[in-house]
Amino acid sequence: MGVITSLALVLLVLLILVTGKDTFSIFGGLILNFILIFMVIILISLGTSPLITAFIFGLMILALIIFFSPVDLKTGLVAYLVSVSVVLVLVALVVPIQHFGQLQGFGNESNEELGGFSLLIGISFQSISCAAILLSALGAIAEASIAMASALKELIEQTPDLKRHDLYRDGVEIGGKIMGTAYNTLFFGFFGGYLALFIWFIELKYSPSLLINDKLFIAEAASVLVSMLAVTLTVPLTTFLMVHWRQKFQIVQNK
Amino acid sequence: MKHKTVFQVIILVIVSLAAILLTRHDAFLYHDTVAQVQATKVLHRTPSEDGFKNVDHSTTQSVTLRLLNTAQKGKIIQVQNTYTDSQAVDQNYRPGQQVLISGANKKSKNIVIQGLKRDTFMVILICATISLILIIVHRRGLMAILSLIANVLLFILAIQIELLHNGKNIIPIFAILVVLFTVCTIALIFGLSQETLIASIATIVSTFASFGLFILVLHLTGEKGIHYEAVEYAVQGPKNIFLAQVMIGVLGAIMDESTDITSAMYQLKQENTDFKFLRIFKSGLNMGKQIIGPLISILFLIFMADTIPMAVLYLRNGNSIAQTFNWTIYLGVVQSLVSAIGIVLAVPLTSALAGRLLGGNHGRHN
Repeated sequence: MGVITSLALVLLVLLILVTGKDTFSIFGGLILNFILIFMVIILISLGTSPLITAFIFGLMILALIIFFSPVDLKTGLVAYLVSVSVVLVLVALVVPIQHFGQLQGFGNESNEELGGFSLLIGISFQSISCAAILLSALGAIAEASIAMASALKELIEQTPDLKRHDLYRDGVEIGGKIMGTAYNTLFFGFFGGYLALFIWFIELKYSPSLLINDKLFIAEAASVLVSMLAVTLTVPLTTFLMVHWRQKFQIVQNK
Repeated sequence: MKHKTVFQVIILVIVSLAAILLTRHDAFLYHDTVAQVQATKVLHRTPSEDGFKNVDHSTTQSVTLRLLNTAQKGKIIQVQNTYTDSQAVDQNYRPGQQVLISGANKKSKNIVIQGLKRDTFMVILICATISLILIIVHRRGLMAILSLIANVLLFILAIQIELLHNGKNIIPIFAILVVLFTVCTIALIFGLSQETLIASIATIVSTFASFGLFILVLHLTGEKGIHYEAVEYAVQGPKNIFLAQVMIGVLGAIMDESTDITSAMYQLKQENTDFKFLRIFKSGLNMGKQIIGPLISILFLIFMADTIPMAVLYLRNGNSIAQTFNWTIYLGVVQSLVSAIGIVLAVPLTSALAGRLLGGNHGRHN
């Protein structure tokens, strides 16, 4: 048995022990997610536009994460609407970010690894870089919008007579809590992905001027910052939607 | 309040503009030669087809540069630059961009553009992100940023120490780092309290437990299927670097999870002072179930998105899907799975600790 199969089995057993019947949606969701990402890679290498492919599959991945998590349908819909809006903003952001940062492809650090490859593959690495930035932010966007929507819904249910102004204030307060920990998840996630690169920079004594202009370093930093930006945008968007949702659909009465 | 916000926004804009202007005119700080692209002209463009029938073009452009520093400041030079359509390791230069060049001091004709000067870009992005965070989540945003800065400093320190030991003790050093990161970050959220104790212990134990399970699985399977050579940028033993990456990568997510559960359980206990271990433990599990899925996806997508450029390159170079999977995506999946295991483990651990420590005493004396 290979390492992946064994780890997947360990995960499955633990999920059954801890979550019981939710195992199906969590584990199944993870597998479907993997299939979608794998399809993105295959489609890009077959020549579809990387950014458009990532965007379309991104909408599916968001739906998968949000509706496979145990939230009720209305909260899920709010979270999904917020996530899609944030992704639209992101698409509008990554294009200029890539244009000015020129973060595409591989750095000098990869030279040895690339030795045997033909790099003239006829696919725009600029667009691939946009796609990668977009995809890596999706999970964080979905998680933050689910957390925001659930917390706000609970608040509205418990205190139905809250004024609109108070709701906005509480939204900021709840958002602050969620953001603080969400940034940590992103930060360590990215560092965990690129620890080797940071050891490389320090071991080879990159000067500060070399470092802050290095393509790979900046690409990585840009990814973290863009994800943080995206996650932060879910706070006002969810609050806004929840406030309007409450008046139009009257969550409270339906309870 | 409104006036204060407007005032804060004005300050943020001024600081940001100052930083951006500074980096745009900071060439005098550089040892390397900095130049600005004045004009570009396409000299010739040749189509090419590689052995895998990939059609691409190589374009050679003549770039007119004006030097911005060194003794030759103001001098205009011409350089040639070749780029491909796919731009995997090269790029097209445009007027207005600033670049770093080498070979300008010597009389030789070997002046080469080393790369784009990206500091202005970086500063704009940092300023935009921080401003947005401060405007949207105010004080808590500031705390979060400070805690991230503290973590970066710890990181740099740890890598320095790691290098002093010639990379031999990477795992123990990062294990200590896990403890430091956790305690610092969580103490910044909760202060010195019982909650900090619960969340920190739960985070540290789950991280090490998932790591231990991973090592066990590696041992039992004989590391079948893993190609450590595929760890990118590993200057030293790739296996240890990968193990350290696995340990650090999941830490934030577990902290996120255990602080969430801890603070909810603390609130629950305050509202229902008669709740004992079992009630708190069960509520904790229930809450955990809801956050496990999305948390796993965050890390999964980060690790997977990292592999896309390399995977596409493999596939376009005539490698089979299986080969591409084994050499580019495999490690990302392994890292995602170990992280998922840690995220699942943290739920019962945090709930049990919260139940034990909060459920034990009746009411809290404040």
